[in-house]
Amino acid sequence: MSLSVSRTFLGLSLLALFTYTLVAGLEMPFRASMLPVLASGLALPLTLLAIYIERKTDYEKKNQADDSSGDLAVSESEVSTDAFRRVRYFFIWFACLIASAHLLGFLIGLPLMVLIYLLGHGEPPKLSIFLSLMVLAILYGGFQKGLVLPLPEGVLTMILFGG
Amino acid sequence: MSTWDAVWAGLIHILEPTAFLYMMLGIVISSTLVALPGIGSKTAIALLLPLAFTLDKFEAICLIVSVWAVSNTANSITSILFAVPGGSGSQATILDGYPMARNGEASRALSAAFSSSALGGIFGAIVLAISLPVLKPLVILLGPPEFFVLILFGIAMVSTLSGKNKAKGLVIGILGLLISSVGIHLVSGIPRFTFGNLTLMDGLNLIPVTIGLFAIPELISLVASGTSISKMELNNLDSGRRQGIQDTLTHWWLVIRSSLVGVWVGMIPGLGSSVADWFAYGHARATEKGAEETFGKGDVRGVIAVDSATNAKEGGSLIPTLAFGIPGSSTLALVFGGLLIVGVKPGKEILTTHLDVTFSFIWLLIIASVITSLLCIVFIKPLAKATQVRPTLLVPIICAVSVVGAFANSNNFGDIIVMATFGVFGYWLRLHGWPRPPLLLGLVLGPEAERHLWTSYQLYEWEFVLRPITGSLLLLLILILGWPTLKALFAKMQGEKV
Repeated sequence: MSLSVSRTFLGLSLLALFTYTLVAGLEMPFRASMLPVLASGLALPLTLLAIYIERKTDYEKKNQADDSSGDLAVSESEVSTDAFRRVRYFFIWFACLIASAHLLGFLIGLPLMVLIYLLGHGEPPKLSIFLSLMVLAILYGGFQKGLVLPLPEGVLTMILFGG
Repeated sequence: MSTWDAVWAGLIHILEPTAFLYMMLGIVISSTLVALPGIGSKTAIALLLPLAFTLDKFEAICLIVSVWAVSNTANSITSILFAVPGGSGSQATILDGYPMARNGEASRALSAAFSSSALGGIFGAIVLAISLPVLKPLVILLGPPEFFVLILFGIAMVSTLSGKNKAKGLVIGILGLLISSVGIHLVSGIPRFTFGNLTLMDGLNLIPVTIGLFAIPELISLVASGTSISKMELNNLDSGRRQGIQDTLTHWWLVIRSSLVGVWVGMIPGLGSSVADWFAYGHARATEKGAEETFGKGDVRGVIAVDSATNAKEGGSLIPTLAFGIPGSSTLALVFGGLLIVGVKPGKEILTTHLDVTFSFIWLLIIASVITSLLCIVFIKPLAKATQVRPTLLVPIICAVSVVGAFANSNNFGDIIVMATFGVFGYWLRLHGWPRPPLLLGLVLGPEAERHLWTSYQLYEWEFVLRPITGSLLLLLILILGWPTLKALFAKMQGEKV
């Protein structure tokens, strides 16, 4: 998906979202609907205005975040083809990180995914193992024992080894 | 007891060796915990309450109040170094602190943050001390309609961050308000936008949304660019440290103004700690010379404004807490819950017969702020060097800690999904120049806005907007938003006359 298609899709998604919240809000009792309806009613014309202003400004000439958003700036290196490829791999790894935390539990899943990431990016095995163990130490020593935060066991480990 | 006796007695109480030791313990524990994403001062206080019950009254005050008072200083560390907010009061620090770290100026940014934080803390405490007698009429003057408009004001102030396309900021701010309405409506019991999902029934929590909106997109940015946070050589760390302190002193007027903003926001119960930083940032951006061009790219004034305000607001939030027993923030409610158990009651008593306790609070704010800032400045070198670490080492570790941070908030796995969803959404917004900060502000202020809106409607119907203070505030709001257009219009008209 090119940047301009993605940008248009974002604007349209916001419009669709506000239309939905407005319609859904109107079906709620008055007290519950007051804020959603008022907010959506305001947001719809403002979104159209924002899209119009964005369209008016030449996309190619401006650095978006520098010029228009007041948010952290997006650098050229972040929007190259290579960068998007790296981001795609990151998304896959991140989804696996969450899935492994759910299936294997935090204490096994998170250090394991850290190890896979480090080895996959060519870090030395000794350093990768050390850092993964450090993550395990932070989770177990810092969160589970120190802060008495019960980190959940994994669904899979519970099935295999019992809860 | 005269006021001066109370001032002196308040100081003596906290300088007792054991009380001072507990203050130091509170400082170290708070500074360490708040630097972890998702672990705020509330968690730290909650963890220390069982210990506080076993202590003498002033020892307990020193422990609990110091944990609360210094939490805003240390939570700038991760905001500046990794764009991961350590707590709700350090979100705006990211906007200029993180770009400074990327430019090799982490040491300068941290030093400016810590020194302005100390000055803000001192300023807030002084304002608290001198304003105690004149507080009541001011707070009583504000009713639900005024509070509602003040909340709109907050969102509008942050939308000024959107530069030329302010509509984008407003849209995202309103989206934040709408997101705050997700969950079961507490009064009517109607589920709103929950789609039958149990996690959404409880509403969306601030911590996972914050980590998702800010930390994840910055990690993606590191992955995309493939370079360390700081792409440049770190400038001389010692001179950076000196430069940061010098920056704070040079911009003393900004420190004072931002501290005033912090005190003002802090003393309005409900507005809370998450707002002061955005108000101060918006104020600095609107008033500082050349800020439109440099803010968001690593301008030290953005860091100074935010950190002065976040520490100064603690003094401000103590004002309604001490005077009327209305905690200025949820963390303060927890602080006072603990203090009540050791025999300290807010209200008339603490301002009359136990005035020394009030001044102990004020001294603690000053002394703890200064000590924390000095400690943090001493450890700037190792902190700044963290920005040179390869992203392949940082990204997986921060991701893993962020996952636990999101989960730690309410021990709910659904919060991790919320974090991931907002991470992707935040990346999308960032990529296309839609500002993320107003969304957080809308989310924080949404419940209060809805409560005040409904109460105002019940009291005055829609005529509440015509009340004198409300109307004036609304008019001012419209003027602020429309000023650039009006200015251009006037300039055009003058050009035509000539």
